Amino acid sequence: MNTRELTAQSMKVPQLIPGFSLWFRQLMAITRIEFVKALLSRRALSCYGLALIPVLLLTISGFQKNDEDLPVFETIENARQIYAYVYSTLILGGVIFLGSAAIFTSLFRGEILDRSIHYYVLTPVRREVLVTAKFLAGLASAFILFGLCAGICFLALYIPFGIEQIISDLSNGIAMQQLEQYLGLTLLACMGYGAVFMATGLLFRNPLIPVVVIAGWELIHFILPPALKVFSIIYYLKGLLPIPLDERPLAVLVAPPPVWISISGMLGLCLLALGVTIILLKRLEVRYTDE
Amino acid sequence: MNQPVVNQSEGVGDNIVLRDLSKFYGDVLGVNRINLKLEPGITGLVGPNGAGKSTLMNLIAGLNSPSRGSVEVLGVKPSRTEKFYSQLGYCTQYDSFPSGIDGYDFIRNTLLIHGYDKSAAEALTQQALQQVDLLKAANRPVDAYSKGMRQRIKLAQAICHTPQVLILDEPLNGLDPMARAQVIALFREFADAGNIVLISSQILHEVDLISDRVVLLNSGYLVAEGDLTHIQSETGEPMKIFIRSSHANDIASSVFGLEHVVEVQLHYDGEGLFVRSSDADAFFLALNGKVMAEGWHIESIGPADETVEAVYQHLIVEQQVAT
Repeated sequence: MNTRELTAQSMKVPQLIPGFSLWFRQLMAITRIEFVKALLSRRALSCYGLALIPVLLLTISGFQKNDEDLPVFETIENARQIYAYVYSTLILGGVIFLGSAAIFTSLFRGEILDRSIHYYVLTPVRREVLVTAKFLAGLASAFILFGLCAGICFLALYIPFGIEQIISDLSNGIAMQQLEQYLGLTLLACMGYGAVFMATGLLFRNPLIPVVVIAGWELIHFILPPALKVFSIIYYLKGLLPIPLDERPLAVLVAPPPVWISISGMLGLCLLALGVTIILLKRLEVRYTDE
Repeated sequence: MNQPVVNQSEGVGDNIVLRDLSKFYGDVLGVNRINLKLEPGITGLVGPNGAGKSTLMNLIAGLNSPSRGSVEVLGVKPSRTEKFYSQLGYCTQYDSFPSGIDGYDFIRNTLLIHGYDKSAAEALTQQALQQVDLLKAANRPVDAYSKGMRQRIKLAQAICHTPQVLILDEPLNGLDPMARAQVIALFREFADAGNIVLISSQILHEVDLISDRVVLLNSGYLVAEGDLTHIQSETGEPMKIFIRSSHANDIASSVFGLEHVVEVQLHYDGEGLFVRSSDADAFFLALNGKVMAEGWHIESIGPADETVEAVYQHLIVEQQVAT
């Protein structure tokens, strides 16, 4: 086929009419592409590694015995208490925080660093659609990875108690309810941290700086006065833990926010961060650093 | 040379219109006060390194926003993302790709992001890959492509959605002669269909070969624009004319006395001569009279310096040397 024939053929290109159906198609296409990139690329290896840490820790602990040759998880209540601590500190404060930082920061910053963001900028996609699609892709991959991590860790508690205990606990409601709460918390955490890190990925040239600053702020949230606590994400998330935890020494004690405030606060933060990301993307100048 | 002033409503809908366009990176000048109207056809963008060619292209394509002034492509501003980018394709100078992707998926994903359904995206991908002769290598990772193949896949990405405006930053870099001929033919057909093609290149004789008109930039300023005859006449430089004739000696001695002829040089084979005249029209008129009177046979006659290279030499290189 010669170029003339090809040019003639190109006249039959279907017209794309802007509107909800086009935006939806674009949203789905970008989400699919970014989901594969976030979950199945080399970039995702560090997140897999992070998610494996608590899984291995709780699985090994499940098989271990203490000095009196009894399981480390003495009773199922004791095991759930241990899980609440592990979830709050290691999974929420470590794995989900750092994993979300890695996944969501690289959604835009990763493409700026590997000098391919201009391919997106040159497409006829509303910036609102692009940001939403990338966020959904990041959220889906983060939730699959860290939700699985939280779920497998929860099931690992039952190693000393056997399969019958799992079936019984999951069917009588308590365990299932707690598991759902942990998964819901994981989703909210991925949304909150994810939206913030996606915005900071566009705002800061060095994405490590905001990660370190936010990590420091979240780490010291327990000694912050109540007026400042409300500006930390972990404050809202901890209020949703199924088993309340004792605060550390020196902690400034405040009542946890009501569930509806925690959830709507996280959703509000998420929307605000997405709005900021859209504005930043609209103002983005594609000029790679070594030019 | 004075820049053309672009009126608010002048032919905006079919052209690229730049009004008072400036871009500064802090204190560093990218381009300054560019007023330009680019019409359908091929326009060559020429200038030395650092002249502002890529900056100008990035501004037209909306990758950078102007510090001052405005850009309109076919009557649409870059802020109207959907309309603007559906009619524009840009092959940038950046030699980078999403990591790990193969050629086929690179094009197909672009089309899916544009909003085409799967079957249309696949058909257009095939078409674009065929146009740049990359069908056989389509399933190989782009990272493993040669420089020329990467250039071609970028080109495919720019044309895959059949835009009406193509902006090409050094598109011939890394291409072998056969591929060059192929893509130049592609640009020609694209322009002949009434579309706008803007090409920057350092290879002046190729710009000369493919461009309907040229835009010369230097140090961020528009130096000249238009077709070569127009630019040549605007420069005020004596025009160099080559005459091929078996009476070269007679013609040389006859025209040497004309007032506006500043230089006459015989060709080494004695069958031709170069004449420099400060008034080309008057020269051709006088020459006609002498040819009629003497009965000389003229084989061919034409301007010898109506090339991008000659214009570039005069307007940029000589000016740089002078300053």
